[in-house]
Amino acid sequence: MPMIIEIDQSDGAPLYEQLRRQIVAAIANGGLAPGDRLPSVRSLAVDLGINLHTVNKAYAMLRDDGYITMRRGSGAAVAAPVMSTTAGARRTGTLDASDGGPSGHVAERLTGELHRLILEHKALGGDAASFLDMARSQCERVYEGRTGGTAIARAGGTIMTDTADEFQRTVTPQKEGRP
Amino acid sequence: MNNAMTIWTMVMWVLLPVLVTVSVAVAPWVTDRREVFGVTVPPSAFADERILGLRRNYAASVGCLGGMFVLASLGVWRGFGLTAALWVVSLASVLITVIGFVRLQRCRREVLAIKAERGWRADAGSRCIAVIDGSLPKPLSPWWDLVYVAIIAATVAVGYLGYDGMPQRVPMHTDMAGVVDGWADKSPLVIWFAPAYELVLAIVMTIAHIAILNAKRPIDPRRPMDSAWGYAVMMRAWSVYTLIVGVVVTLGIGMAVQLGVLGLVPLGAVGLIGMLVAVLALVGCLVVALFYGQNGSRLVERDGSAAGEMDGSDADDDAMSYDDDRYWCWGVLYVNRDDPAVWVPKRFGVGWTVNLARPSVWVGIVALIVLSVAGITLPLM
Repeated sequence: MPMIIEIDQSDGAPLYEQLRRQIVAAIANGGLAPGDRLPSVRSLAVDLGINLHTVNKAYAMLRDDGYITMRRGSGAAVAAPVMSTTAGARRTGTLDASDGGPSGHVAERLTGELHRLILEHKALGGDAASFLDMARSQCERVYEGRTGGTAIARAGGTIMTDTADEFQRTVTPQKEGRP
Repeated sequence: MNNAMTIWTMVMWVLLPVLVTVSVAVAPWVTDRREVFGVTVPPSAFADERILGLRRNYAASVGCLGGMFVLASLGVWRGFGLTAALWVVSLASVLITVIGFVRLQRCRREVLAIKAERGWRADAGSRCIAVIDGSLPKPLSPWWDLVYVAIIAATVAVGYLGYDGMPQRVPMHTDMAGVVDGWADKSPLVIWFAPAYELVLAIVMTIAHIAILNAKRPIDPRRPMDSAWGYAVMMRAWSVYTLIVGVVVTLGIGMAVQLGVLGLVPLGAVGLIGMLVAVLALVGCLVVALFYGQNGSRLVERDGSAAGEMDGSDADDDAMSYDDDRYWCWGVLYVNRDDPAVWVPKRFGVGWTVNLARPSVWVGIVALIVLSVAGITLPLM
């Protein structure tokens, strides 16, 4: 599935973080399916015109979190989702005992970030209910909003902007089968 | 050298400056739409009146000068004979390129002035963009270059098979007019001359092929899918062209030289075959360049609205998403220390050039110079 990666040098987030987020978003939205090959570190760095270390770092972070696999010779590929079934859980063997949750390392990080977001929300005077509302609407956006139709996955650095909607307006789905 | 061969030779040789003139003159029309005379410009610039005028001016001056050179060489042929004419023709081909470069610089300065006048500037931040798409056409894999091994082996085999028929004095060199003026004594070593030449050619063509595969892929942020497709198609076309030309030149000239060395083909004819191959390669190059344009831009302009990325509002679009001028010296030499790419698409013209900031490129250039000098001086010793 075609996927656009866009790096903005003037954006606040570091380049490797922008790259990592976009690949994660593409995997979440179906733009990249399990087994899909990612470009080699060198070719992605060359195409984007950024340092190889930057791409290496992004790929390493993705691999450590279990989003992609990296194999000598065949390069980087999207990993099979760890969360899907208990079969996945058995395979990785690093899950907590409850259900098909993400690997322990990622779960820790996600929980930590969630905690931080709630703190920020509370520090501005927000209550739990409004936070849960926000969480619910964002969940709806991700799980029900952007799936079918477009074969193009594209994501900016954050989930709070409407860049995705903007993108929908300006770029229509790619026609099947080019001449 | 008989009359027919003389005429053929002259025709082939005159075609050289003609083709060079055409390819130099046509450059502004095959360039990517985001760049004009080696300057980054917004989409509205390509159809801008003043820039159109610059383009026509450039083509006209290069064309006229080229035409004058061709006429001059024909005149020299009548007045001073074939050899002198061929010297003029060779010089002309080089001079036309130089003149093209000089005209490019003048036009480039004018475009820079227009750019400053109109206030064309890139919006803050540079967008770097890449497309991951497994369904795009792919260039030929490097495994195809193994065919050169077969060609070299065949040439060696032909050499050994025909060794007995080789004359005692082997014609090795002709002057510009095809008259033999250098011989070598018969020996098994002579058979390896052609395969050695083929090997050098095969290495050069393989490097060119790999360069195409590893080159930076420029994506137009306004139309990422279209430009990715256009570039992929063009990349494949050039990889095919490189292989075909490589095979034709290696087989055609290498085998012809081998047969000439074996006494089966007159050496003058070998020279003619060489010229014919060169002309065909140049014509093919022009055709591919004109059809696809740099980065597939001409293809995309013709067929490209399939992805719905263009809405025809180019003429009013004054926004540039990036400005690369600072990395391009004189508009043609790319120097960017922060860019890991070694091969990048040319800015003015069709094809690829190197990133002069990379050390591996310096090594390559030095090696090329050393090899060229060796190639010219060693046979003379």
